[in-house]
Amino acid sequence: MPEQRKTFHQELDEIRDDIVRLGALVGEVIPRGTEVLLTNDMSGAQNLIESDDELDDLSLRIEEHCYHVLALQQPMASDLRSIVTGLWLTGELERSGDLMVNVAKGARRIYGVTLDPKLRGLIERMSEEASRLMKLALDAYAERNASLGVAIDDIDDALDTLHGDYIEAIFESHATHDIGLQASVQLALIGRYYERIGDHAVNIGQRVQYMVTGWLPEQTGAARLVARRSLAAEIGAEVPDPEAESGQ
Amino acid sequence: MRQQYTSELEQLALQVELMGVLVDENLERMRTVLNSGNLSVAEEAIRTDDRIDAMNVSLMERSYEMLRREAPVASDLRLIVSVLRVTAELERIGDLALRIAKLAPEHELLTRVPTAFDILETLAGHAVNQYRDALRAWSTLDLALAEQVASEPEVALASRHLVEALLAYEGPDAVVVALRTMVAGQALDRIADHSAVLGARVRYLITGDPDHLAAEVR
Amino acid sequence: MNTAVSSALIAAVVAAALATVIARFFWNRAQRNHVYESTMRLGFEIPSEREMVRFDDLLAIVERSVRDLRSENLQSESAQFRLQSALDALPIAVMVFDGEGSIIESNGASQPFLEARHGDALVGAAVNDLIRVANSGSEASTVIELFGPPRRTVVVTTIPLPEDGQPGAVAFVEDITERRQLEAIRTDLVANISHELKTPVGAIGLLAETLQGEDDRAIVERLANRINAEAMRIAQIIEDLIELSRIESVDGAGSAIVEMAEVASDAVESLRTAAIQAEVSVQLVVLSADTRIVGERRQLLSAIGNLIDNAIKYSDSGTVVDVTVEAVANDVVVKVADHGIGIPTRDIDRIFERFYRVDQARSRQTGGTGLGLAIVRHAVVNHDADIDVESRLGEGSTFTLRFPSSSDTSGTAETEVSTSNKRT
Repeated sequence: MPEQRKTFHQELDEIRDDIVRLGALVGEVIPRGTEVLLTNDMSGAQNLIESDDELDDLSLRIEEHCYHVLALQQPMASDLRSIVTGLWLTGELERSGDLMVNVAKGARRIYGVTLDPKLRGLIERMSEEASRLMKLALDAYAERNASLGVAIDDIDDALDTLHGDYIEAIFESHATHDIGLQASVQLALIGRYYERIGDHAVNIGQRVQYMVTGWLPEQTGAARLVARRSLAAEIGAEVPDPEAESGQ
Repeated sequence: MRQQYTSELEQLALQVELMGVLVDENLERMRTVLNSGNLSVAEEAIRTDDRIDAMNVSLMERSYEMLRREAPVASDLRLIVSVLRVTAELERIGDLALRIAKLAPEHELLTRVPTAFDILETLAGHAVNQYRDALRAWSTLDLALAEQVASEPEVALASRHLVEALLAYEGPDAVVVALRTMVAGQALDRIADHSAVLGARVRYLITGDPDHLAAEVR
Repeated sequence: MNTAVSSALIAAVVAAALATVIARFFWNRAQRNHVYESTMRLGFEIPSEREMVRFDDLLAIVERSVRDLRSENLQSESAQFRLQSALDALPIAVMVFDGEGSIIESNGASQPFLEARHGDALVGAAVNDLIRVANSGSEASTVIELFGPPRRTVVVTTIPLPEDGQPGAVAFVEDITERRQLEAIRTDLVANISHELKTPVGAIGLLAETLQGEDDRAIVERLANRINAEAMRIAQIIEDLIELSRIESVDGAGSAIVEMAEVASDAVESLRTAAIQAEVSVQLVVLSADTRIVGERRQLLSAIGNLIDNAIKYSDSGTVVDVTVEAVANDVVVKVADHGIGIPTRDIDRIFERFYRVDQARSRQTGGTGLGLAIVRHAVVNHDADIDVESRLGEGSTFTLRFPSSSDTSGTAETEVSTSNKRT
């Protein structure tokens, strides 16, 4: 029995390490995609688009691994939460990677357009902010730090503000005819990709909070009570006590 | 004991559908708000979203309880994990619908550029249709329909037209109009996106083919 | 298994692995020294000369320990201890794995890659992947570019252990960022010098050729003006080169007492015409009564002048360049801030290189020589001062110079000996 427990925890560790690795790939692809965009690097764009396969493969492997562990082991409540959190995080990270692929594709579409320094600066800052959020989210995960996980939502406000400034700068550049309509459109879309990476980081933070505490942000007192009562009535069971579960 | 387990699984799938119906209702409210800026409908949407969140929590706890108690394998395991993943998507779609409903007080800004407003309505129609197909695929386990929703092409073209329309507008409030409209446009875009993921989840639930996991993100 | 024997075994394993790769490191080092030397000849400072020496010493210790361990003294505790200490001090990560791919030994530099996160996690993952290759019998190596920040380039190498010993493999991780940068400085410099000098000379040749067959007075006039402009450009480059080598050849900064506020005021005055032409307003604010430092007035004037000149060139018309001089604690601080185009983050580390250009196309228009900031840096080094750059694209740049004030007597004595550029 102790032997089996050990291998189970090894599997959990492997899943965690792989998610950290997936997160690191995403953390790298953000500044990389931004550089491709700002330097008009077409072969870099192509490489980035191709390298997304590595990210996809890894997330597929993690997801299968999670299923494998769920099927073969009988995890306790808190371990179960870790595994399901792993499944969620994989989805968030994978989609963040796809968003940087979109940035690289956008870079190809605006090839040859000269961006004024203000726009470039804002792109640089949105990118820095997005990758900072992603790193914090991964830190929260690796350290099982619930309060950091929750805080990411507030930190994300800075990215939203930057995004607003960015849209304004696109309008200015377009009004002075520095950039054409098509390029403005592409740039606006690119800005949204960074913003969405921020959203994914916020989601990861909330999932981490759940992993550690067993509580979701929407589980505010009243809503939770109603849900549990209705559930209990429906299945004719007693309300299970989550504290007792996680304390096993 | 086994009997109870099977009926519990059925209950679980049914509950997901009920949650899906709540989300559907809120999408309809979102459309009304987008159309008219009706404040009381928006408030109703906010209240319904609390219920959606509560259902999400209850479904999650139930799924966990079953994973823990039954240690399911194969297709049962797929179903329970799918419930966990699908409710997360539903909850996200609900949030996005709410994001638009919350624009009600500023509804006037959304109508400022008529072409952009038209595109928003088109996007909304598309998103809601996508969502309904996905939900139908879930309740009928219709593989063909799931495939179709999962592989629906991106709506990026419409969003491009949206930005084009906004850039052509030269009023003094151009920037704030653009920002609000883009918030709405992006939310609608993502509702369609999440619906496609729902479709892919249903497809995986039916086939159990791991390749369909990878295809989910395309 | 008895602990003494097993640790001896591990030591033997490590020793065998090290012997296999030491030759490679010596080769690397020889290459790197070559780069350092040639870069030094070009007038650059070597940031970590001392560390390089230390690295050599360490390798020698490792080599000797390996020899000891291999010959007879497998159990020799002192040899093992020496080996472990030397390994721990090496700037290269060394990790030894068993045949199953589990880590059995690692040195200090490996720690960041164990249970790592972010970029380091990718290095750790690459180590694990390549160890699998090495454990199946072949050497493997990969270069990983990390975008960070900070940007880094690391090489991961894994080598199978000799067949007669324990099954297993050893992994090395070396950060070659600095070496890459030095190589880039060297190759870019040659290209840039030829670009900066050849372009105007080529232009003069072409213009003169066109001039020969030209009768139209208006065109002749225009061509002659352009030849003149190109000639002035070359003259300016030569002047800056002379100024730069003069500042370089001076050891230290002299011992005159210089009033920084006065220097700044003179610099602003000398650039008045340039500022008016560019429609940029330069505002000097002196916040302290005593801004005296010890140094050489001419160098300082040249440095501050170059900073203001740059600020004007890269500003949009109608904006303001702020120059402030202030005594803070034991320092005299000079700030030159513009609201111009700013510097991309990835270029900030390189702008002080001679002839380095952020944007080749624009620099032709602005007419700088590409030497201004190199002059600034050398003057700053000579004065045992600090320089700091903050910049945001589209928002502007602020250069901050921090000189030890003349009242800070302890600083003046050091000026003679220390030429380190950063006192952080």
